[in-house]
Amino acid sequence: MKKTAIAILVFSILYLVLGTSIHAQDFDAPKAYADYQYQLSVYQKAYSEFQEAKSFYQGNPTLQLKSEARRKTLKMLKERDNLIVVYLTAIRMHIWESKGFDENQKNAIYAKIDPEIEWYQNHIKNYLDSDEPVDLFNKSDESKSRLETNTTPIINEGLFDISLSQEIGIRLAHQQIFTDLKKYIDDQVAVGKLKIDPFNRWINDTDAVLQQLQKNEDSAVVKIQTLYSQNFGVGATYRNSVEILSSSISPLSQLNSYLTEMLISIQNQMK
Amino acid sequence: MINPNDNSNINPNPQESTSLPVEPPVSEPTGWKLILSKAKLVASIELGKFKNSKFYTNKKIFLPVSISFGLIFLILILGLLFGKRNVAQVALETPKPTPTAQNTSQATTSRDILSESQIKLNSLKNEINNLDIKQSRLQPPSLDFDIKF
Repeated sequence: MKKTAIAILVFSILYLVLGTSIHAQDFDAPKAYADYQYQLSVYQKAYSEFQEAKSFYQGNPTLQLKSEARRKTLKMLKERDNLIVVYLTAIRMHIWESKGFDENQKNAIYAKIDPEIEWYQNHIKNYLDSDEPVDLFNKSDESKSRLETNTTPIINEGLFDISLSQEIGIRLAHQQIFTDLKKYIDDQVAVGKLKIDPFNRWINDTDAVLQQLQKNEDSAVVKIQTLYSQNFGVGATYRNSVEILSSSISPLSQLNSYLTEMLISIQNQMK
Repeated sequence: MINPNDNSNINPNPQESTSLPVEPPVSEPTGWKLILSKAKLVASIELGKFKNSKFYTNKKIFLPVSISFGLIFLILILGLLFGKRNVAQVALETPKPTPTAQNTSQATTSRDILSESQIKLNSLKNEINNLDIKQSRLQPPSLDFDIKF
């Protein structure tokens, strides 16, 4: 009784002290990624237990070991479907937080991801405690088929979209700085504080880099859409699209250097 | 020896004795004294009841509960005395010099644009360096579909 009273007292004090500092945690991309990592560990544990039970049964095929293997299979299959749900959610959250895509572009990929999430959420409910091993195998095949035919291309497009949106965001941010600097140069040239040379040539060079970046983005988008028009080579299509995006990193660095150089030159002339 | 049958020393009529002290008449309490005395009486009765109650006699229950409540009240009082208060910040009116028109606004804005651009470019450079186009952290999990036994 005394211990209970002391425990209540301690928890009351902790509640009073900490209660005000506890805030609701927002769901964002890092949280979604942490959820994915956690669910991955849950699945891996369930898979390991399933493999163990399967080995025991195959080594000594008794009814009890078969029943145990069936139970572990059921648990693993549910966690596997749930892992895909959590993984797709993490991809969705990363696209949602990316800066380069507008609402239409984001909604276009959500329209593909969301039905997949829904499919696996419903499929988890199909697993019944009373399912025999053969039922579980059949339902597992349903997940396999869905993953290969529908989900994998969408996962690949989702991953591609995260990178594409990040690149577009960086390019647009540079473009805004470029616009500001061009306006500043024009204003200062008009009042005679800056000379147009060499900025006129540098502006043309910077424009060329921006155009190259946009061209890369466009060709990568065209490439990734072939994921859905091909019956094979989904992985190769994704890799080729990512390679096009990767080729934009060097021009992005160049763009950054050009603008930094332009800025320093302006500052030097203004001294 | 005292003889129990010897009644010679006993005054047969005590009222006639003059040696006994006469008690002064007791005056009835009035006003707040009456209330105080009644309160004391009620308190002593209630205290007696409380001391005979199971809650007080069972020290295993009484001590932890009374200590707990005591500490909670102590915390509340300390909180009221030393807790943070939302004290409104009152800005004191200080005399300011009369503003004068200066032709420096253009230069100030320009400096801001240049320094802001510098900060943004540095930040963007970091973003480019940290770009993970392959999204290696978010690669799909390895799943085994060969589960039959």
